This record gives sequence, structure tokens and C-alpha cells, in this order.
Amino acid sequence: MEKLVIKTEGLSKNYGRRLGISDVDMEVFAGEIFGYLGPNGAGKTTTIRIMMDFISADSGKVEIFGRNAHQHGAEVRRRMGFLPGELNLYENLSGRELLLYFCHLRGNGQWPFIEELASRFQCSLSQPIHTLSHGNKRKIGLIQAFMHKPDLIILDEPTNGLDPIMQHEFYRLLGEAKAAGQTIFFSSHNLPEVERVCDRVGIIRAGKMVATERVSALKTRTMRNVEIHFGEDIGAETFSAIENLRILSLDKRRLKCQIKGELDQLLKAAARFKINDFISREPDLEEIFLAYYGDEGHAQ
Amino acid sequence: MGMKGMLNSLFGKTLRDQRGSLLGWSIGLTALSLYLLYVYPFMNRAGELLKVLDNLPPVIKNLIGSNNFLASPEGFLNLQPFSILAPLLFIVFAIAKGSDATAGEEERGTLDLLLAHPLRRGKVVMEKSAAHAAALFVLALVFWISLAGGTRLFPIAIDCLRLAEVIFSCFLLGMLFFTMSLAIGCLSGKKKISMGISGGFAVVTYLINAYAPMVEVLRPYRVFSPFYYYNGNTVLINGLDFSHVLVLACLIAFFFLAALYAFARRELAS
Repeated sequence: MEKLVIKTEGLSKNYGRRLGISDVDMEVFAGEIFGYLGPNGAGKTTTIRIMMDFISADSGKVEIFGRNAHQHGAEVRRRMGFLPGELNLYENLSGRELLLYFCHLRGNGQWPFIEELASRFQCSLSQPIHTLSHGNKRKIGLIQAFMHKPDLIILDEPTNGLDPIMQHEFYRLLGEAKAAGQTIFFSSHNLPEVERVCDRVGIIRAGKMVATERVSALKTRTMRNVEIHFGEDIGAETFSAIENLRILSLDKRRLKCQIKGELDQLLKAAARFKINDFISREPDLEEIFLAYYGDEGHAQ
Repeated sequence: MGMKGMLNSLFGKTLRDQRGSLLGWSIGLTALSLYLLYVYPFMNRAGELLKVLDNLPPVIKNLIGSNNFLASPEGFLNLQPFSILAPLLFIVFAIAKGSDATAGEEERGTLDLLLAHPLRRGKVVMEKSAAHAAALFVLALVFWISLAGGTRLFPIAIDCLRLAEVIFSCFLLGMLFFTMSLAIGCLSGKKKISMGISGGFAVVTYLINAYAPMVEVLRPYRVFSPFYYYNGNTVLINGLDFSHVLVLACLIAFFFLAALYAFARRELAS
């Protein structure tokens, strides 16, 4: 039996006019990387802020390590690391001073590991934080979330503001943490990112959980937006027999469509004509919701 | 290293963050003390001025805080700085720190990361308050040292114990406004609301206390003004009235508990 690290039950928060969350049930197990996926404003940050006990739920509860996260907040947070989505650091301190301070507040923190992380992320710790770029501040935010090797790390949109090389380094760090048995919960609005690093994913839309799936299951249902520009006229019925294809628009020399699963049939059908351009892009979350979760995803 | 050593706790960090303002305020208070002691003998010699002041109608004299003792150093200091300047400075410092302690940090967004640590919210309020109280106490101490020390520099005889008593009373007044603005900040999460209400309360209650001796209808309300408990007894001349100290202490305790209560239930703004 896998060990539960986070469990939410019927978690609801009503902000009045602004959308909160309603009835969020979630289970995150020890040693997994759990992606919390949803468009901006779906309620990801609200859920995280309840987990961190920054705000309280109107109803429902959060248990972390089997303890109520509201009643035993300080005790629970001892074993947690956290990176807020909107990161604000003490600007008057240097990175080193800030991390030193946080080590003291935690009562632990491993300085050689901090130095290692700083050099991996090419992050200067001696400069005052107010002189650092947005990306460098995010790096310090990441270091403070990982530095004490906590059992659970909660990250709110962690790759925002990181350049691709640093994102790669961050994914490596996630892998190492997972290998060390740490549990990671991270929110994102970026599907490819979640597919790349997560074991399971919970999908939230308009304040409601619409699905919790293994990433491997999600991948089999990958959807793609494809646009093909032809160099000659094509017949209207050319693509009508292809499975899982949804034609968005088709004129004599241009096809716009969405395809689920394999591309094989589409490519073979298209290859009979002269192709000028082939554009394929990952769908954004909104399109995935429409394609897979339909009205269920359209809460409210 | 010394300054880095202060990053070992929330208390230390809070105090460390104030080193600049504490230094500035200390220099200012010392300069003010020495300036007042320096000008007093000239004021004394300018007997004409004192006569004019002493012959003002009682209404005006009360308003400027003169109580017929102007000719003595205690009387002079009671008027200046202890009638308005010193309490004003302590209150400004106190409200600035009290409104910033939690509400300012919430507005800057740094409170999230602080509270992500294994700290109880009550402990956050306690350690921050302790650090700000310590800073205010340092200011009081600097003020006392500069005034008491200044009397050695200038030929002015003054009771240093009574001086300590009135400055202690000033410190308590500052603590009252600190805890009050802290509590409002913990409740609202807004620095401006905290500053506005606390500052407005200070002005209104100051005016009530200042006018009460002359305005019949205000007289019963004087007991609602913290300024009455601060120096209603003319501490520099008569010493501390312990019932007044007790009232201030109770108010401080009340607002501190209110701050603890409010912050424990505060929904942090994102």
C-alpha cells in the first residue's frame, strides 16, 4: 500500500465574485511527482495556499503526512519545502544571507548542498537580491525550497521565468529528489512540462477537479493541432476516412485539423500531394479540456 | 559577521532590519536633547519672554502645555519636548513599525515565504513585537542618556530619575500605539489602514487631552485619552502615577492579544 502524503477532501473556498475552488479531492502518494495542471485562474494557487495554511478552506480538509494541515501547520511545514508562484524575497539581503536566515528558521538546511545547488543553477549568492534579475530570484526561490531535503516539496509554477537550460537543470533536480524518495507536488499550466516530468497529474478547471490520471494514460490521448499547406488542389474527401481526425477548416490548398493519437494515417494521406508547409503544435490546455472533458470541464 | 549573526532568528532579523532607522532616530533624538539643553539658559535669561508666556491667558497656556513652571528646567522640558514633540516622535516611530510588522510584509508578499517555515503565527507576532519593543526601548534609553548626559555638559540641574520616569511613560505610550497599529495591521492586512486609524486616534485623543482642562464638555472624556495617562500627572515634576502606568500596560496587553488573535485567523492576501 502506497503511503499518502497529501489528501484533500471536499476542499472548497468561495471568494464571492472571484472564482475559488469547489469540492477538490486529491491524493498524492509518497515518492511521486504529482502535476497539478490547469489554466491560469483555475484555482491551483488557491489550493496550494490552503495546503500551506495561508488561507483556510470554507469546507473540506487537507491532511499532509496524515496530520491536519491547519491544526498542525507548523509541525507539517517542518517537513516541507515551498516555492510560491509569485515570489517575493527580502530584497535588502544577499542570497547567502537569505538562505542562512531560512536555515535558522527551519532549524536545518545543509550548507554544502546549498552551495552545490547555487553552482548548478549558476546563481550568485553574494549579490543583494534587489540587484538580481527575475530569473535569478526564482533560482534562489528554488534553492530555498530544496535546500533542507524535505519530504514534500510544493512548487507553484516553478519554471516560470527560468530559461530552457535552467529548466533542464530543474527537471534533473526533480528526478534526483524523486530518486531520494521525496514527494513533489507542482502546479503548472504547461502540459508538455507536466507530461515530461510527472508520474500523475490532477487536472483542475474553473475550480473543479476534472480528472486525475497517470501521465502515461494521458499521453496515449495526445492531441495535436495540425495545419498543412498544399502546393496543389486537394479533394474534399481526401481526409474523410481518417480516424480521430477533426477537420476545423478545409479549402483547396489548406487543411486545419485536430488529431488524437497517431499521426500516421494523416501523414500518408497528405503525402499523396505536394506539401508546401506542415505546422504541428501542441494544443493548449483549453483545447484539451474541450476535446477530452467536454462539458464536464465546463464548470459553471 | 556580527550583522550576519543576527540572522539567526526572526527576532534578530527584525532588529537587524532596523539598524539604519534606529541609528538615524538616535542621532536625531540626541541632537534634539542637546539643542533643547543648549537653548534653555538663553530662554531663562530672556526673562521677558518667560514673563510674556506666564502672563498668557490660561487657555493659551494650557494649549501650549505651559503650567507656570516655565522658569524651572523641569517646567521647560515638560513643555518642550515632553508635551508634544517627544510623544509625537515615539508615536510616529511606533506606528511606522507596528503597521509594517505584519501588514507591510503581507503587502510586499514576503510573508508567504516566512509563514512557509515551521513557525506558529503567534510566534511570528511575538518575536517581531519583541524586536520592535526592544528598538523603541533603545530609543528611550538614547533619549534619556542624551538628556541626562547633556545636563552635565550644560549648567542645568535636573532630576535624572524623574527624567527616566517621563521617558518611560513616553515609551509606554509608544508601545500602546505600536500594539494598536500592529493589531489593526493583523486584522486588515493593510498598512495604510493601520497607519490611518492609529494616527487619527493619536491626533483626536491628543486634542481631547489638550483641550480638556479648558473645555468643560471635554473634561469627562479626558480619561479616554492615552495622553492623559502618559503625562496627565506632569511626570517630570510629580513622578509616575502607577495607576496611569497600569492603564497603559493593560491597553498594551489588550492590543497585543488582539494582534495575536487576529493574525492567527488572518487570511493572507495573495
